[in-house]
Amino acid sequence: MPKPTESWLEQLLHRHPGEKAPDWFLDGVRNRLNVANDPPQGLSIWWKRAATIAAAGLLWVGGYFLGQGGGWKSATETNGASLTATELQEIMAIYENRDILQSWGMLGDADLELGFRDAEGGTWLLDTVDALEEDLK
Amino acid sequence: MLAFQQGSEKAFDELVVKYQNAAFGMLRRLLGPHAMVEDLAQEAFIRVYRAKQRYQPAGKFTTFLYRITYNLALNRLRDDKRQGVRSLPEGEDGGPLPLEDLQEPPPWARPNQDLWADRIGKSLMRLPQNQRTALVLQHYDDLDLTEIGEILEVSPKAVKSLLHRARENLRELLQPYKDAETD
Repeated sequence: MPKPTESWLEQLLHRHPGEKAPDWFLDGVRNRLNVANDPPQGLSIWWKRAATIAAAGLLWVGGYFLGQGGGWKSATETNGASLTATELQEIMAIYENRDILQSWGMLGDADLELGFRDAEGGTWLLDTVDALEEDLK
Repeated sequence: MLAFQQGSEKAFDELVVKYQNAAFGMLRRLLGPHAMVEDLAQEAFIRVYRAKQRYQPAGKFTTFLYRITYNLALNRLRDDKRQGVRSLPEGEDGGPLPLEDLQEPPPWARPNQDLWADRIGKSLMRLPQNQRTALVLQHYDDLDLTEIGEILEVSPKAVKSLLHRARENLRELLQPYKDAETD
């Protein structure tokens, strides 16, 4: 609520009401949790094994290319010369498929999302991708 | 949250109902009027559900929730940028159009309240995302400098600077509309 002592800007900002969640929001959250917790019957073991192999493969490929040469490269040091377009695509594939890997329940936030955006590691992977995309243009 | 950590599913439902509007509102203000925020808001609570063992009771739940929500918003902004999705139309040079060039319905077609909400929403989107986030968290969610700093991973002093610049920029963007109304 606006207060008499607020500046005109503060009072104006109150006129942006934001948005309320729809009435069915909790149902939507529960549905998604139920789907994640109840994989399809019959194929569940096969899906998990296939997903495990796919996730391991993606991470191995990405980790292999990132580990070549040893040591981290900061975004300012990377000039695109040591990572090819194929390697960049592999990194992008891991990043873009992070939601799929999470939805399979194979890897949790601690392994995936925070790995991309860890407070200590920073956003080095995302910064590297941004820098490389600029170099490859 | 503590009850949820101890196994109460009902407690999780209560958390969702209590904070769903806060999450929705924050995402709408950070991502703009055209973004699909419902899936992101659901995702935020799903991550809360999955991370319940990592939650530290010493911290505030709102900080925990907003941190997750902010990261999701950042990911969406970054993904949109990669795919060339723009939250607002652009000028020929690729920069944002001046506010006065953005098509607005005539005053008689919409209530004044909606028009200002629209202007403020678009003005917020013209701010750098860290300024926008700091301002949204302080003004609409009543977080203090320390809490905002925990979410943005910057010092309280840096938050203060972000807020000052955000307000300066917003004044500059909205002053012409304010002056036009009072003329």
